[in-house]
Order: sequence, then C-alpha cells, then structure tokens
Amino acid sequence: MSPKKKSAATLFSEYAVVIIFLVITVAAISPSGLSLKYIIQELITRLGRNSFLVIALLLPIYSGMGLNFAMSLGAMAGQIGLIFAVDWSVAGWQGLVFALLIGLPIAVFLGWICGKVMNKAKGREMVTGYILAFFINGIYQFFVLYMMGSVIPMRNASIILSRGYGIRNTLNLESVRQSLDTIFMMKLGGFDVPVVTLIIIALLCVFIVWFKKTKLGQDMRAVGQDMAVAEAAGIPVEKTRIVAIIISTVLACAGQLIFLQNMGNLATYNAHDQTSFFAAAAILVGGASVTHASIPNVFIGVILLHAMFIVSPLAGQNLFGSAMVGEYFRQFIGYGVIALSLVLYAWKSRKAIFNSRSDLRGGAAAKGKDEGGQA
Amino acid sequence: MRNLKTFIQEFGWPRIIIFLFLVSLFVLAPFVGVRLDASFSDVLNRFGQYAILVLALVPMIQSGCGLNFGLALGIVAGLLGATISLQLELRGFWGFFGAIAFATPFSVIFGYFYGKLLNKVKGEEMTIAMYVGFSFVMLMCIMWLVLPFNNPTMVWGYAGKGLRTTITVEGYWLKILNEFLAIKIGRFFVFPTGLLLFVGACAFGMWVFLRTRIGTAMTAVGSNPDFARASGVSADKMRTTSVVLSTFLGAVGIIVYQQSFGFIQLYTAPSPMVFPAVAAILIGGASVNKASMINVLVGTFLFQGLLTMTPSVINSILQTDMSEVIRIIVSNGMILYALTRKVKVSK
Amino acid sequence: MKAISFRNRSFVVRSILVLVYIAVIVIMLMTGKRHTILIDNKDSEDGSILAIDGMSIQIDNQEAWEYYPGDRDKAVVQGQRHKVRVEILADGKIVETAFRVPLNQDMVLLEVPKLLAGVEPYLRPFTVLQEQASAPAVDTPQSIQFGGDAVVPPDGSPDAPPAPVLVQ
Repeated sequence: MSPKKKSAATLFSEYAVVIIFLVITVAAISPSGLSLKYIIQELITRLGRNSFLVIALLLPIYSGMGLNFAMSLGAMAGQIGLIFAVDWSVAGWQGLVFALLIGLPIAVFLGWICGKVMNKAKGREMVTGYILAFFINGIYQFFVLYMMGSVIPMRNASIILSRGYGIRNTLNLESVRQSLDTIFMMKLGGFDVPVVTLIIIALLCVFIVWFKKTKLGQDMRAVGQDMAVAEAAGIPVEKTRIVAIIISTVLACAGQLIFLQNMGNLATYNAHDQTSFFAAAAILVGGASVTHASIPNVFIGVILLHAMFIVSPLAGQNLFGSAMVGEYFRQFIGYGVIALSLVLYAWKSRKAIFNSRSDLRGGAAAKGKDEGGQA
Repeated sequence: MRNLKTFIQEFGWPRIIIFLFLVSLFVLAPFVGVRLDASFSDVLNRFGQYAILVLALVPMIQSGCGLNFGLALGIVAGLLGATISLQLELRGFWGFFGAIAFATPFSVIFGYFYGKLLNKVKGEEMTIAMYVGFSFVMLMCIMWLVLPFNNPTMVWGYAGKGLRTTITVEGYWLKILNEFLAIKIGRFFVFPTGLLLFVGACAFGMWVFLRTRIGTAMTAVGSNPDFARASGVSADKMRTTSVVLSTFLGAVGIIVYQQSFGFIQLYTAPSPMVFPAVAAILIGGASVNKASMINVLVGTFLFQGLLTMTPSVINSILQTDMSEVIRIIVSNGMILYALTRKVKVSK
Repeated sequence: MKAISFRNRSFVVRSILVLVYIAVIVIMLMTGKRHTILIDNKDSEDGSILAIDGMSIQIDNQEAWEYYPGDRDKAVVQGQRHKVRVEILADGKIVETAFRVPLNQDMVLLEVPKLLAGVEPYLRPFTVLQEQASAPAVDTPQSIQFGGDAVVPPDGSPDAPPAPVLVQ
C-alpha cells in the first residue's frame, strides 16, 4: 500500500470533533459572563463526578462492541442499592459502599443479560444496547414503582409515595451527599479538589491499563479487531464479549453512585436516562471512535464536553436573549457531536475498506455502483 | 399440523403472545366496566392516526437502510407544513392538503440530504439515524422560537413571537378526515371512515409502488444487492429514493396524526414519536430488512390496541396506572426481539 | 457451566469471598447506619425523678446544648457506640457515660434525668407514627422515550414559554 501523506483535510477530519468543540467553547466563554475561576472549579467537580462513568465505556469499545448505550443498566443497579441504603439509613461513605455491594450482584446479572442479548445481535450492538436500556428501564420502573414498598418491604416510610407503595420521585441523598468527595477535600490554589474521588478514578485507570495486559484483556482486543480470526485462534468470543459488558456494567454501577453522591439527590425514575448519552458524548468528543478509545480520550472529552455545557446556556441566553435557546443549542451540539463522530468514523472505515480493496485490484478502483448496505 | 407449526415459527411467539393478550383485554373489558364500543372506536382512531407513520418505515426497510430511527426529520417537515398552513389560515380540506403540499418540498430536501448521509455510512445507519434525528429536533427547537410566525393562535401571547409548544388545529382542520363520511352507531362508537379510507389508499398506493419497476429495484437493493448491481441498478440512488419517500410519508403521517389528535406538537415532541412506529411495524411481523403492508396494518392495530386497552382495563382491575410501564416493556421488548433475530445476511 | 464441585480449592476460595462480601455489608450497616437520639429533659412518668433545671449536654463531639425542664431536642449520629457528657450548670457536676444504640432502632429516646439518677433503662426505643410527609401524588414517570401518553393539555397560559427541561 502506498503511504499516503496526511493532507490537512484528513487531519481535520480526524480531530474534527475536538476542534469544533474547542472553537465553540472558547467562543462562548466571554458571552457567558462566567469567570474563569468558576469554570475551572466546575470542571474539577465534574471531572470527579463523571469520569468514572466514561471510563466504563472503554472495554466494550475495546472488544468491538461499540458504544455501550446499555450502561444505564449498571446505573439502575447502583440506584437500587442506593435506595436500600437510604431505606436503611446508612449514611456517609459507608452508605455508598453499602449501596455498591447491594448493587453489584444486580449489575453483574444485568450485564450478563446484556451480553447475551448483544451476542445475538452481532453487528447491531449499539442500537440493541440502546433499546435494551429502555426495556430494562421499564422493568426497573415496575420494580421500584410497584414492588418496592408492597411486595418488597421497606423500612423507611418517608421515601414511599403517599399511596403506600412505590418510591418517591426524588430521593434526598443528604445522608450520603458528597460523602466521597469530602473525605478529603483539598483546597488547592483557591479551588476545592475532591481528592479521594480523584484517587479512585486514578486507580481505575491503573486497573484498566493493567487489565489490557492480561490474557483476558488481550483476548478482548483480538475479538475487537476481528471476531472470526479470534474464534479461529481459540478465543471464546461470545464469553469474552459478555465479560466485557459485565465489567462495563459494574463500572457504570459504581460510576453512577459517584455521580449521585456528588449531585446530592436522586431522580428515582429519570437519573439513569441520560447517563449513557453524556458518557458517550464525552468519550467521542475526546477523540475516541466506535472502535478505538483510550484513557486520554476520557479526560479530554469530559473537560471539553462539560466546559461547553457550562458556558453555552448562559452564552445562548446573553447572545440570543433566551435561556431556552442556549439550552436547546447545548442539546443540539450534544446529540450532533455523537452523530458527527459516528458519521466520520463510519465514513472513514468505509473509505479504508474501499481503498484497500481498490489497492488489491491493482489500483483500478471500481467506479460507480457501490454495494448495498446492511442495517 | 405442520402448517400450524411453521406458522408459529414464522410469526414468532412474542407476537402470538401479544395478540392473545390483546384479545383477552377485549374480553375482559365489559367485565370491568369498560365500554367495548367506545374502546373499538378509540382503537380505530388511534390505528388511523399512526398508520401512515408506520407505513413511512417501509421504503427504508425494503431498501436495506434498516429501521428509520431518523423519522423525526419527516415529522419535522410535516410540522413545518402544518404550521405554514395554519399561518396562512387555510381551513378544512384546503388546510389539510395545503399542509401536505407545504411539507412536501421540506421533506424532499431533508430526505435527500439525509439519504446521502446514510449512503456514506452503510452498516451503521440505525445508530446514526437516531442521533441525527435527535440533534435535528433540537435545532428545530431553536427554529420554532425564532421563525417569523405571527398567527395569534400559534404564538406566545406575551412576547408575540415564538411558537407555542402545542397548537390546536381546532377551527382549521380538526378531524377533517375522521369525520368525512363517518358512521356513528350509538353514542360511543364513531367509525372514522375518511381516516381509514385515506390510510387504506396510502397503503394500497405503497403496495402498488413496491410492484413497479422502481419499487422492485428498491427491494432488490435491500435483499440482494449483488443481483441489483448486476442488473444495473444503482444502490445509492435507490437508497436515497427510499429515504426521500420515507421522509415524505413521515410528513404526511404526522399531519394525519395531528388532524385526528387535534394538536400540533412542536419542540421535543417529534423524538418520542419514532419508537412507537418502529415497535408497531416490528410487532406486525416486519424484520430489519423486510416489511409488507400486512406488517404495517396488523402491527399498528395490535400496538395501538394494546396502548388503548391496557390503561383502561388494567387500571380498572388494579386500581393503578401501570400503562406507561407496560408500554415501555412491550414495545421495547418487540424491538429487541426483532433486533436479535437471525437475519439472512446477503452482503 | 461445569458442575460445582464441593471439594476443590476454588470452591473454598469462592465461599470465603462470599462470606467476606456479606461481612463487609454488615460492617457498613453497623458503622454507617444513622440513628436519631431524642434527648429528653422531662419528669419521669411517675413523677419520682424530676427534670433538671439547666444543664449542658453533648453527644459525642457535637455541639453542646443547654436544656431546661421540658426540653427535648435531637441529635443525629452514625454508628452504634456513643457517649454523652452532661454538665449540670448549677453545681458544675459532670457525668459521662457511653451507651449503645440497637442496630434495628432508627430512633431512641434518651431520658437524661433517669440517666443522672442512675435508673436503668434510660434509653428507650422510639417510634414515630410518621405521617406520609406530604409526598407529591405520583406522577407516573414520563418515559423519555415515549414522552408520556398522548393526553396533552393545551398550554395553560399562552403567555410565557416554559423553562427548558434542563437535563443534568
């Protein structure tokens, strides 16, 4: 294959998303009227709050299963654990650990189901994951809205709805609020830094790096690159994929708990809805693609995405005289960046296939009729 | 007996279960105080309301583009048509068909570019379609606020500009199809003849179209692309055509929906309308790359029947509102079932 | 899955892990559970022990509060072992005791006069008939996917556009 010089256009398309985001965010800082200090403090907080969830997306991408839109299954597991923690009045970081330990088996189970379903929908994992998330959401709601308090006895009457069963729409998490963050809140140069949270995130990164070097990690990479070749090499492809999803779901469970302890309250029926959207948007903005993602993508993405989310509502309000425009704009960019990344990725990979095919044919690229697609 | 077995295998257990569930709801209804005639009337209404939106999915399924999660673009085109029709104070049938007429150029343009986009990303259409749809809806949210409409029934009273979230079509073309030649039996049952005639006409039109040269070419591209290529059919062109057609039908579908429902719903409303349509066609027996008129009609009927009967019957039995949860589980379950079926892959 | 054999090492290891797992949950429960201690300064029911006029009470390391006859206040604590320090304002006498809150009880009543008189038990379980603190009527959670049922009321006030739904 002849070495191709990277033209400016190719470079741009590789980093298109990052560039667009930088431009928009920087442009919006001044109209937003927010001080740099405020923005940086918010970013530090959000790094602590969201990074864990984004890291949960790494392994499925690594294993060739694309963006795990079904990570909200893990979030739901964590929330159930949290509901029990509040029900039993377990407070502080002990409450978080309690919630995590309760939610873990649920997360493993849900991850296992997710893996099984995705194995039946090879080639369509992302859509399937997306729909599965809604499906399990229905079951979660059934569980939390109808079974908790009736079939499942709850101790704490104040979290139950007035009709006698079902959990209330918002749970005040004041008992565990910021419990992880404030274990050691360091004041650094005028900013509050939640040290323990960041240490945990760092440990997770170390774990991921280590994991990729293990046999299981290498298996996942092989499966991600080419399932058929991996199968021929004796790797249990289906099992490996399931394990990848289970780990992802478990990490999402823990990540959601970190997220919720920072937020301070739980929107029982909605909190997990946007989890996968924000995590996927973050990792894509950070430069990842559907098949390649690394740890730097996670942090760059969280910073860029959330910087944009911090400034754009106010910028929109001041520029257009309407807070709503800012909010809609923010969501437009959010969804748009995922769409753009997916498009760029798919386009590039098709081009690569096309180019390699035409090279094999000796350069006389077949013009005109492309093959049909497969959904 | 073997025929029955093959029928069950082809039809699929989930669909049979849904069908039996629906029948049992109908049987239960009178015993729990739900009027059968009112229920039938409701179901027929909702069937007609949604049918064309479901029909809009067919071209893209046939041409191999998968489930059109980007149907929101067609819906937005329809919204533009409807709002313009209202702005111009068109009433009655003029208003209704005017809305369709205004929506057409938008839907063709949207569909064209959307189709071109999808052609560049063969293999990942569904996920991209979803997010393109969502972001476009958000962009339109900004547009609805900014576009220069000024009909007082449409804009916010305080500022005088920016469209409201829901706009009533009462006084313009409310139920214009439903009431056309409607048959009223007793106090509770209204047979929306006009609506069902329109739906039937569109379904028939699609059926005929799929048998024309272009229609068969489209199907060929989806089910057997090599054969299509060998016959000189441009897959890309067919796919784009199917996307344009799908978007156009989406526009028509939402206008039909609005005249029956009574309101134009703007802003973030288009996004949640796509999943019910997808679920309906899958319940009707379609797969990710094959759909027929029967799928559309049966699926819409079953799905809307379920959505109508479940709240009224189950809520009367259990004294509680479980309809939303049941709806979520059933419709997503159906989509999952379709996504996990083994598909005859023809690369 | 291979059949579970009860003899080999991995089974033993796994069982130990499960036990450790459950143990940690229990430990979390014990150290993290919140209890409310109601501090009471009232005469006992039979009138034999009188409330103290003026004392300062401190639970664990929390703020010390002053109590007069008839006062009742509450302290929220975590875990089961706690200590109370009473200082009687009149003569400066200080009494310190440690006590345990039963794991199962969310709320306990600490009768200080009894404590000072040396009468046991001075710690009583307390249950509140909790009124369902006006929980809002359940809004069947609107699914973000389906946007709720198609029963859309036309906008009430056609004046101001509603605030956008701020997600996160």
